[in-house]
Amino acid sequence: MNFEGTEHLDLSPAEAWARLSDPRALGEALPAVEEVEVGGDGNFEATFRPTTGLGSTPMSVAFEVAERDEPSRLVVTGHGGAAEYAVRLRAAFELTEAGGGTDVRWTLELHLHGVLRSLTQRVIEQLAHQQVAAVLASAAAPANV
Amino acid sequence: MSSQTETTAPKTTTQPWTGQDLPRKEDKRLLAGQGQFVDDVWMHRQGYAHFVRSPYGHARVVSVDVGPALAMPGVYTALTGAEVAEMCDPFFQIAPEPGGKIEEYPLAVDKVRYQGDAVALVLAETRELARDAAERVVVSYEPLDVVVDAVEAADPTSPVLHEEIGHNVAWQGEYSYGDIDWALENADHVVKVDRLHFHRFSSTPLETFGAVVNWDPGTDMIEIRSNNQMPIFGTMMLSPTLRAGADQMSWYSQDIGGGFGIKIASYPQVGALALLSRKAGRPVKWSETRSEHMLSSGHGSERTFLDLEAAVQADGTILGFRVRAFDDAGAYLHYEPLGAVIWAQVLTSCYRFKHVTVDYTETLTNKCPTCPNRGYSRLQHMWMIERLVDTVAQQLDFDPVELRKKNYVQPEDYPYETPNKCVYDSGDLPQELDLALEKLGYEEWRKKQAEVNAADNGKRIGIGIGSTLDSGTNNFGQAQIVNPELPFSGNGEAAIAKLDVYGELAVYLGTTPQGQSHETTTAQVVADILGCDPGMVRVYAGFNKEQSTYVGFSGTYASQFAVTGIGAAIGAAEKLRGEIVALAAFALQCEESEIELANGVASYQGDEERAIPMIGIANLCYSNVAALPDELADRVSLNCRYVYRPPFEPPDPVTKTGSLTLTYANQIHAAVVEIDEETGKVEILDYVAMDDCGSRINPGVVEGQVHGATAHGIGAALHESLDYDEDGNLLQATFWDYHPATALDVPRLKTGHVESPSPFSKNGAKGMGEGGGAPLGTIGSAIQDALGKEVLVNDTHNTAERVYELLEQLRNGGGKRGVEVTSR
Repeated sequence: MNFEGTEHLDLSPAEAWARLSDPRALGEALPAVEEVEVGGDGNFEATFRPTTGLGSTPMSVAFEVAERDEPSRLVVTGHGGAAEYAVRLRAAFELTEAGGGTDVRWTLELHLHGVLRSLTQRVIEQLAHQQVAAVLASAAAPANV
Repeated sequence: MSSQTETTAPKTTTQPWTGQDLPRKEDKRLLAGQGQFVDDVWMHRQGYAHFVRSPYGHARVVSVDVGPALAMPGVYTALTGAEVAEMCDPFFQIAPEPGGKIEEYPLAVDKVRYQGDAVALVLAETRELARDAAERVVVSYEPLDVVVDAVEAADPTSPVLHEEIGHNVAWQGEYSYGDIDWALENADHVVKVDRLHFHRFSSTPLETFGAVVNWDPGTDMIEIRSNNQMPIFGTMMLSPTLRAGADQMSWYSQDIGGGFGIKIASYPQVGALALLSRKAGRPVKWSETRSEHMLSSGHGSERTFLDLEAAVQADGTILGFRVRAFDDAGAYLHYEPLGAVIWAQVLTSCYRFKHVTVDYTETLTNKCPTCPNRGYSRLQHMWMIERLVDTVAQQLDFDPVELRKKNYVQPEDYPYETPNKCVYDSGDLPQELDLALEKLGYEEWRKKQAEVNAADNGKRIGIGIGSTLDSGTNNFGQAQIVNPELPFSGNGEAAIAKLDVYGELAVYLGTTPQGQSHETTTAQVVADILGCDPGMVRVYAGFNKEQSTYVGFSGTYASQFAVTGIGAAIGAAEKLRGEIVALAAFALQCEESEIELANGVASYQGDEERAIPMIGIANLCYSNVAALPDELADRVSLNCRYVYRPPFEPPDPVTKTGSLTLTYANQIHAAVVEIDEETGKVEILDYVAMDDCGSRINPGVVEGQVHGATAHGIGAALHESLDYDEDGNLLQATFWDYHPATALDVPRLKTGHVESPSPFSKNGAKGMGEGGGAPLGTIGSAIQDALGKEVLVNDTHNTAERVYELLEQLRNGGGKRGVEVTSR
């Protein structure tokens, strides 16, 4: 599944890029995050419970900041899941200055495996947009600075 | 000779019981909540099992770590694919090579091939704990590319599921009869259809799979309490796999909450449970969740038809057709590739086509294995033929009713031999169609249709017809057409009729019923033979391998019980009657020919004063045997086993010809649908289901089967579908997304029956219940009729979305969408 969108952040591209490329800041920006373990080389593992159509589902995903092109581009990949479902994703963020802030154009390639895929099929597009928007909003929030 | 009957026969309380609409004996316990289903079974020291299933459609299993699960208090043990590969052998394959090279174990060993493929089992002291523990099992996968389309799977560049084969074609063969090349070259018209698709759905029985299995460490006996619907076939599959003798395996069931064929295919799960029990040294219990059932129990056959060409004469005679069929078997061959020949039982469906060529390919895909499912393999083929007939009618401007009548097998043609030498036993299809249309009010609906469709008010009305056969009682010799090495031929069923020590009449069947009313219908037939009330005949519920009698293919499937199961019961009851008469003649000092059985008593020519009750007969055999002359004592046991054998010969595997099935019930359905042009929503305004299953043993039971099959077909046509996404994910893994037909989805049905007794069965019955998938043809036909000839209904599944797409095509100018007509 492929999703895309654009969000505006009231940060300069350099500030936005810095926060999005910081594994801890990015990990803690995930909605319903319970735990973030930061490793080296831009890796981090997050345990979180994103909300699905049938409530919240525990998920542990290993993320890697796979591509860095400061301050205009960032690619994050992830894979993980739980017992009988799995997730693989590749999120790319393109940052451009706009109106004193930054427009973040994002694309998300998402592979969900397991019953979770069927359970979320009616809401996955909305869910993906909400999750990415929440991450970007959280990354831009002063508390996360 | 055929006769039309009313839906419900008048109730009487005297013989003959056969043909009466008696209340079901089973309902006394089932409606009182006293049935015993597999989840009601409990064994001392049992643990609860839960399968760990793959979230991936295709992946290598890098590692399986059950340690975290075993560390949980209350977890008894766990079993992995690697262990299973040590403990047992791969399942026997029905297929020859290449499919025959597949190595399937009860758990996936080094690779998962569909979402839901089981990689491990956990056993714990409670069901909930087993489930929680299963979540702790850490499986490392290496995802692989998937293929989820049967036609693409045949492409050599597609991802390969089974490396031992090297490609995904499990079976391929050409069925060719007559001379289709000549017919296509010489016909006045050739109608071509590029592609038709019969979608994947299932029967979703109320009761999912389940089993309680105990591999007794002391006796080495394997006790299986399950809802498997064909346990002797299960024994054939499991015994060599488990390295156990067939005599070690004891199967039991009482009540089964629907089977529809799917429950033939529970043997892999039962095998895994047996190995888990053996490892744990205790009984294991497993009840499948609904999601597991949707993911992994078994799906109905999905088939794609390419390059369909029909040869048609100017007068409407359809000479025949040619088609390429791609059947999607899913990831493993469960009962397959028998489906690659079973469709040939209905090669020409209800029609007199003379020239047919079908190039049939069965491929493996990263989807749940298919298995027998209501109308197995035949309804796919017959739906294609109904689409063919309707397309010919529409494109060449024939009346769809008259075209059918012209091409139907005619009453005087029976017994009718098809081009592949199957023999249709009896019927009157033109009469049945007339009756269906009369019940529908066809002419009135045509007028209404013209008014509505001309009004341009956003609604369209369509009228459709579906004609199908319900072939019953397989000749297992057809297996040799897909694999000449298989030592199978004919068919049979066994039963025991017994007079017990105090004169009780008992019948034991080998058929493992799943809700088909065997206790009622068997009692009716046996009571007629033994001259008693059906209430006096106890027909033992369910199946008990120790107590029941059976043959290799015993079971209730393929619409055969009324022929084979009842045939066996009739034979056993007649043998018992013979012994009762002999004992009575001795007791009453008369000739056997002078004995009458009535009201549960044997008498001399009906004389109540010179009579002996059943308890007296039983006493002579069981407890007073010295009073009998030796020749009589040696002759009677009052425990009479009979094996019914249909009169089959092995088919010819070279020419792929022969009698593949004994009887042919048929269905003709007609429906009126209304399509909302804004949304594509289809509403059924009227529905008629006509059925001819030969002599009906119990009209109420037949009526129930007709309702069930019709509702299922309507559900499949409009709602039920099992679809996979590009990653191999099943998109309908719960009832949230898979919508079986409910009372709200099924219109009030008008039913009717034509009775054309079969000359080939003992009782004139033909067997029924599967229904032939007539609603799929009927609904598709009606939608096509509503939309007109500029678009093609090319799929069995017609949701509002799909119909909307067709409407959009129409609004954009149509273009026949894959239909081409060449006329000379």
